[in-house]
Amino acid sequence: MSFPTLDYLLFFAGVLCVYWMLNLRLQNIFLLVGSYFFYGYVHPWYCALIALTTLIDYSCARGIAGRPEKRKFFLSLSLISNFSILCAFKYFNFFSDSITGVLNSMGLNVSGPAWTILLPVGISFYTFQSASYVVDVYREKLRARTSLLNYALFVSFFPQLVAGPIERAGNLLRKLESKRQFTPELLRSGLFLMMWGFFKKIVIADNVAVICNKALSLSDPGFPVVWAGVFAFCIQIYADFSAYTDIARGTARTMGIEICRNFDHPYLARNPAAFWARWHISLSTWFRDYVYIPLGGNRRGESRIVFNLMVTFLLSGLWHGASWNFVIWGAYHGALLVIWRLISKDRPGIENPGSRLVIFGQWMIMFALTNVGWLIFREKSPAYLWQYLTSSPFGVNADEWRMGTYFVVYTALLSIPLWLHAWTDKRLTGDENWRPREQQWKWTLAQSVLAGIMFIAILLLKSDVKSDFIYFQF
Amino acid sequence: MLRGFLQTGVFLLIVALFPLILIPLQERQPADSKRIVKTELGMEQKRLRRAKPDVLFVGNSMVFTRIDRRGFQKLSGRRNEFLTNAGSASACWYLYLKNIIVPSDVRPELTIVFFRDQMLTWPEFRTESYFTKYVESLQLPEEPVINRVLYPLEHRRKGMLRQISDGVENFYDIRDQPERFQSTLRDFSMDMTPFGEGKQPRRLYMSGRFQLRNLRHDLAADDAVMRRDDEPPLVFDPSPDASFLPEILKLANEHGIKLCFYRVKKRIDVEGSRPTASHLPIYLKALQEYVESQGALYFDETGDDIPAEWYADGDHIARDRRTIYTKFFWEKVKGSLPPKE
Repeated sequence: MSFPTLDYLLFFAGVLCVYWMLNLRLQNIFLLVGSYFFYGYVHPWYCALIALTTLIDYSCARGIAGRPEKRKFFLSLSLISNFSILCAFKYFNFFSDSITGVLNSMGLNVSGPAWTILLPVGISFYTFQSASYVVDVYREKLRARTSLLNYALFVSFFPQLVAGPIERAGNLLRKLESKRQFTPELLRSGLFLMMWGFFKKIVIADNVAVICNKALSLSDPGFPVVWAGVFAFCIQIYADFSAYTDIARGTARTMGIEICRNFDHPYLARNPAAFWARWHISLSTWFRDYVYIPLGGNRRGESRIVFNLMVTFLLSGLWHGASWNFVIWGAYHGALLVIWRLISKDRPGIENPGSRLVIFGQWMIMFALTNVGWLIFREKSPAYLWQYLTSSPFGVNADEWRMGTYFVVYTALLSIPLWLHAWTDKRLTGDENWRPREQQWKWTLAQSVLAGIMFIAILLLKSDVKSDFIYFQF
Repeated sequence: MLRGFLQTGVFLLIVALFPLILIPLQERQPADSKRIVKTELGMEQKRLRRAKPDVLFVGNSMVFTRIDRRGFQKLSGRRNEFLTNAGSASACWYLYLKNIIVPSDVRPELTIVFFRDQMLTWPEFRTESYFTKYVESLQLPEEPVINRVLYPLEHRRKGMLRQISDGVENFYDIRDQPERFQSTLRDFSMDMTPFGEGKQPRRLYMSGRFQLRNLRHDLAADDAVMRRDDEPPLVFDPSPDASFLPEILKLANEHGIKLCFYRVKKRIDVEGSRPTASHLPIYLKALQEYVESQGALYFDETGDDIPAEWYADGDHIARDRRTIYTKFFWEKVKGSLPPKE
């Protein structure tokens, strides 16, 4: 089930009404049933897969706690099972095709096996979420849970099941085990956040997607059209993914459960490190805690740090999809971080320069580099990627410049709310101290009018072309 | 707590009522959007009546990138007309027949439907995403066959959702406002674009730029819009709930329309042949038998020798090979048409 559909709104309304009439245990049972219904709505067999992951990790965590002498075995069992399932569904054909390609290029005429099976949506998200719990139990940061119900709900909690944020058991599982109290402020705040998410998806992401798809569907786009298309994709992917997160967080908030933020205005970042502290935060911190730090983190000398960063980002790229462009994208961002580290190492003032011009310059450079990254991320054909990256601004006809500029202006107009949001976040939809503020009448009225405007925009500017959330494919 | 409930009530009320300010913004236009749709269908009917074609070609780009209309007229001595739209598929072809050809009272000697492989019994194909709007534009207010065939498992549920969705749109009197606002936004963006000529030359440039020949071959419309879980049918199913084909044939027989289904050959790839699924020959044999048993004609050019250089992008025939293709096509089908006096 996808968020911006009537199906989901009816499902959500039904769940919410029943949910607040139940006690904690029944609430969790009801949410678990609802989450499986949500996940298996189109393909019921998805539920079997998530149930299998849940059972394996629940049992392994119990094994780690109950039989400490075999804790390594249970950890290995959990990790091998999780990542085998993930690899089988997501990476099997990728590796098979890659190996076959290499062998064929060496003159050996072989045809690799192919598995034509649908990739279960959200598999990367819930696999990482579930695996992190077992690792945390192994590290004795968490105690193994006895309640299979609560654990199963933690893995399958429907608002964030399909595209995150990737929650940690230390946060979400604890909240699912605690009593929730209904307040009207909670409901209003959650609904407002959901409205903002729907607005970003339906009005911004789906409309700029048309521009992006159009520009990058040409076989010989000129320089301005290529980069107008990439700019559109840059706006689209942020509006799309952050919309999902906002709807997820809003939905969870109406049920009294606060889930973590996944974005902190990434396009305001002025360097690669800041970008990764603001973009897909739950994944970045997952890789930091479960890959980068175990590899040695910042502790083992400069060359080891470079190695650790590159490995972490290559894996992060591969997490996004079974395609070489994602691996290159990961390597690109890893390289940017390494370069940034080298540049900033002996220049403590570089992160906070006094001059506004320098700040603006840093922002511009980072935004341009981010766009180059999005081109790599989006373009699966190496030939076209090369063609786009090497396209020259010289010798392009005036009509192509006009078309490119028109695409940029259209995208920029639609993206205004995102920039306004970046400016006003803490004041309007921010999360810090929202509870006391929600009780003020002036805030209520401002919030209502804003939500009303967003609702009008959804009705008037909804795109003809509806597309799934981009991150569903991961 | 009471204040909280009051505030939340106010919030919901404002959000729900705020869009009602749209109503005064409405220009006096036809109250029922369906009338606009009907007008479009009416125009197509009028076009057919005016053209009085002896041969009518129905399909998608497979038709208009293959057939040279003048060449066909010269060869056959027959007036011909296209009823096509790029990317259209069986749902659209059923609607062409039901809502355009039948009410137009035009009865060509032959109505030829161009299709590829399993398209005739794949009702969902190209009805979503980019195509939703076009398919809807061909519909009348009540389309029981579309609802039954396109949403077989969730017919009732879709019906309910549609009612709710229509209810919301009627409540806020939305009508064609999204199109108008989208268009205003596009115009505004164009006005804001510097160093511009007029809007019209720029629009013309863009429309020329996005013609099929300028698009990437690797992003064929099929792949771009096909959801990953969409699969063509593996076996031929003649039941009326499985596809639009039985309804198409039924309508044609009821209204004296002579139908001909023409399977086009796909582009031959570099290695020399396309991988053909093992089930396809069995499927196609059953399809041919069914179509012919219902009184329609069936042709298949996939066994013919169509040189690879005739193709341009995808399965389309190159512009400079359309004349020769049309000749080839005419040789293939001319026996099914009565001799011209």
